[in-house]
Order: sequence, then C-alpha cells, then structure tokens
Amino acid sequence: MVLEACVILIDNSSHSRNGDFTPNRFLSQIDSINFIAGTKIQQNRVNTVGILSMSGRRPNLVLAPTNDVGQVLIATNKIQIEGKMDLISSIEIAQLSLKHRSNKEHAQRIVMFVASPLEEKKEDLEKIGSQLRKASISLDIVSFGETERNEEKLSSLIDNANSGDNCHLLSVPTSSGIILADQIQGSGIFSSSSGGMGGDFGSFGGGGYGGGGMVDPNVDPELAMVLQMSLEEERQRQSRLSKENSGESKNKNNETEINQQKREEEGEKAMELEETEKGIQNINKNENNEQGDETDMFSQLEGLTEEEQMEYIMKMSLQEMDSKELEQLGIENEEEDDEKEKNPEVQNALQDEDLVDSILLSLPGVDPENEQITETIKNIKEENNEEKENDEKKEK
Amino acid sequence: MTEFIDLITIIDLKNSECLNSEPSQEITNILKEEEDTNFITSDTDEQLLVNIQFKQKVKVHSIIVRAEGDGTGPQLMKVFQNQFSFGFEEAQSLKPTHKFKLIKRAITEGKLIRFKMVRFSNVGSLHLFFENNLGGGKVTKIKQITVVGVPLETTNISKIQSVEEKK
Repeated sequence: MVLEACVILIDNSSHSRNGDFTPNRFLSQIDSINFIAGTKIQQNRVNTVGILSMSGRRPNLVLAPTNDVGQVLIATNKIQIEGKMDLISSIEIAQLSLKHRSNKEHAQRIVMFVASPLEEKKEDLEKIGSQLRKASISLDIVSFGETERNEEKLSSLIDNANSGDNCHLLSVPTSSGIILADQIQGSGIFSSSSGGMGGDFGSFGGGGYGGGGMVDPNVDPELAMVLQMSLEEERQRQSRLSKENSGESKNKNNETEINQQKREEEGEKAMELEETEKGIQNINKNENNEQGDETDMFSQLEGLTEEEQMEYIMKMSLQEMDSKELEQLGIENEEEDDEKEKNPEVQNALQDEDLVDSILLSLPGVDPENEQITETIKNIKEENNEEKENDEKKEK
Repeated sequence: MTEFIDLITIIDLKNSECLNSEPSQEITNILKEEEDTNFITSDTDEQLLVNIQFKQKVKVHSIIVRAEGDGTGPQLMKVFQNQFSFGFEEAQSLKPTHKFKLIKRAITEGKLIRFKMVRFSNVGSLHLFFENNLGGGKVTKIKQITVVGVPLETTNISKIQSVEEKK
C-alpha cells in the first residue's frame, strides 16, 4: 500500500498503428493504462495517476495527476496517433509534473510504454536515467513491438535509474493473439509495491479488479460479502484445527462450558454464535483428516487460474457449511426451515434499518420505497424474531 | 538579547527531504538532536541537496555541518531559502543567497558557520546544496546538520496548557 504519484507515458507515434498486438499497439496501450490506473488507485485511494502522450509536435500532459479513475478513462480517449516519440523530453516533462505534485509524501513513479524503435543515443538515455535516480523517481518500462532493437538501450536506462530494485523493464515479445493488458497483469509488476504478485487468499478477486485487492464491494456487494464470510469461516476453522491438533481436547470442553455461561449473560447473540461453533466443531471432528489438505490448499491456490480458484474456494466452503448457512449466503438450496444456523452478523445487520436502507440504495435498480421490498424486509425480521423465540424455548 | 536556539524542534521533518541520498537513509540521520553514528551518503554522484522545511518562519543565525575528515565531507555549500519544489536543476541555475566554501576543521569540529541574519530574517524553508566534497571523490557523507536561530513567532504553542492541568 505505497503512497504514490504516477505519470504514465503513452507511445502514440505512428509505429503504434501496427496491428501485431490486438487490436493495434495504440489501443492495447489504452487498455493497459486503464488497468494500471485502476490498480494503483485501488491499492490506495490517495494515489494519483497522470497521463502524458510522448509523440506529436511536443509531449503533451493529457491528464494532470488525479485520483479519479473516470478522468483517466476520459483522457485516454482524447489522445491521437501522430508523429514520432520523443523520449527524453517526455521524461523531463513527466519529472516536472511529479515535482509539482500536490502531496510531497507521494513516492514518484514514471511508467513508460515503448513501441517504436529508439533513435536516442545510449549515453543520453543513461544520463536521463541517472537524473531520475537523483530525483528519487522510479521508472517502469513496458517495451513491446520493437523489443529486440530497443532491448539494449532500455536495459541500460533501467540500470541507471534503478536504485534498490524499484525500476522494472517488461519486454513483451510479439506473438499471435497476445493481449498486452493480460501480459502486464500476469507479470504482476503493478500489482503491489514490492513488484510481486499477491498470491494470498484474497487475490483471486477476479480479472480486472487487480491482483492485490479483494472484489470491489460497489460492483458486486453480494459476492464481496460471500467471499468475506467464507474467508472468516476459513480462518476460524484454521485456528480451531490448530488448537485441536496440539492435543487440547479438554480445552474444547471448557470452551463449550464457557460458552454456555456467556449465553446466559449475553443472551441471543452469544447463543447463536455458540450454536454455530458447535456445528463447526461437529464438522471438524468428522473431517479431521482434511487438515493436511488444507495447509496445502494455499499453495495449491496460487497455481490455479482465478476462475478455478473461485470454484475451489466455493467447493471447500460448501463442504464445511450447512445447507442452511448456504441459504443465508444466497447461493443455492432454498429448503429446510428448521434449526437454521444463520450467520449472526448478517442477522444483526438486517435488524439495523439504516444499514439495510443504505445497502438497498447502493444496489442499482432498486427502489427502497417499493412495496415488495419493504414487505420482504418485514418478513425477514419476523422470521428472525421467531427464530430467537424458538431458540430460547429450546434452552429452557 | 534574543537567545539563539537549535531549531531542530521547529523543523517539519515530514516535509523535509534529502535528494540523491542512498534509498534506505532518512532525513533524520542528519537532522537530529544529538550526534550519533548515522549519516547520509550520496548516491548517484557526489552532490547532495537538503531541503529543510520549518513549521513556522524563523530567523537563521548560523549553521553547523558535521562530517568526517577523510575527504568525504562537503566543500562547496550553496544556501537558498523559501523555494518551492527545489531540485538539482534549480540548485545549479539559480543564484544562492549564500555561498560557503567549507574547510576541514569546520566540519570535523562542528564550528558555527555564520549567516548574514539580515538576509535570513524570514525563512520558511532552507535549501542546502552541497556541490562537491573535500576529497574530490564520488561519495559525499554528512553526519549532522544543525540550524541555529530563533523563531519569529514568540508564542510557543506547545507550552499552552489548559487551566485544569496547571492545578
């Protein structure tokens, strides 16, 4: 989560009319820029991204550094293909733009796309590389289309600008059917500040969302909620399993006793929680053997594509959860009304009218005044109250 | 009449920076209260640029630059004030308020380098450009920089206490 101000340099010279990258070099750069800007701003809301077009009469700062992704999309559409690329001046103008950034605490970065054969001398490039290093500006270069011709010059530029491995050179060779944005995403140099792909549990948030973060809750709130809950359940199970395996069966019994006490003191909330814990413990007893599988799971996850990861996680969580809990998550199985073990957090959240209203408002195409919706909410609340009464009766 | 103090408490460390230093080093290596073993080393070449931002306007009386006597200490120091976004290009093209040629004794013994206070009577930010070093080598090292002066505002906000606390 680095605080960063970034200027992206786009090669809009005539060389990028070439169609060797689908649909052509220029448009694939636009796609990549949208992806990069989205990733950076998602990593940190305060990060700024600016865009500079390198070719034409002179390099032109198309977009001053901003943290609004919408502006990035608008700006990229305004750029025309013209002329020849001027690398040195473009870098200097980008440097100036970064120097006058509004928040001095931002780290400075330049991302440059190169799709034309370079005419600048190697010494000049080395000089500008040292200049960037002196001003503590890190440089990432995406070289594609003319990779062999530019390889030597660009690597010397990166070497001179590099201080502590903050600069990267990504060379994408031309081959059929390559999508530039995919290659960039796969390389992971923009996914996190350390330059590595976030291979952890949360990174399978789907293509287009960026490697390091979870699913955007505004885009798909249900999916985000589902993923979060399955993550939490997973963590709870993991901690429980580790406790069990250290031979603490006595403690387990104590836990249930303590929970009983809590229930009396705290009432419904604790009661529901204890029931879910009991349920989880029962499942764990039966499936103790799977512990070995689960520690491998994380390493396995990294090897799968995002879709496969999704399926795998769903499968795992489906195995562990009751079908009743599934209904609460809104996945499948609309049957079995008795003894629902609902997620207590969701229950309580639904009770809160304001929260429900705000969630409904954020969903597109939903009119909160709608009769059907208000009725449905009432029904859910009634169900909850019935549940709690039933549980209380069972206790007695 | 007015006592001159070490302005370290008035320096805004968050907005101060040192350009062309090794990436892992921080500005607090040289802007600090007491002398210790930390220092700043120059990276790409022998030049260093220290931008010091103050929390309020100050008058600068003098400065102390401490470094080793082995030739890595700075020699030519150009002083600028109240500049915005000050980088190496500006440092080399603009005319400095003061220009000093430091000698070995001054930096090893930490002698006061007097400024003309009339020229530094309203300083919001101070910029020190160390252009070369005593030995002529590629690396310049500085151990500590102390700025001596007096703040313009006489109210010291940190000393304001609520009445209850005093009781």
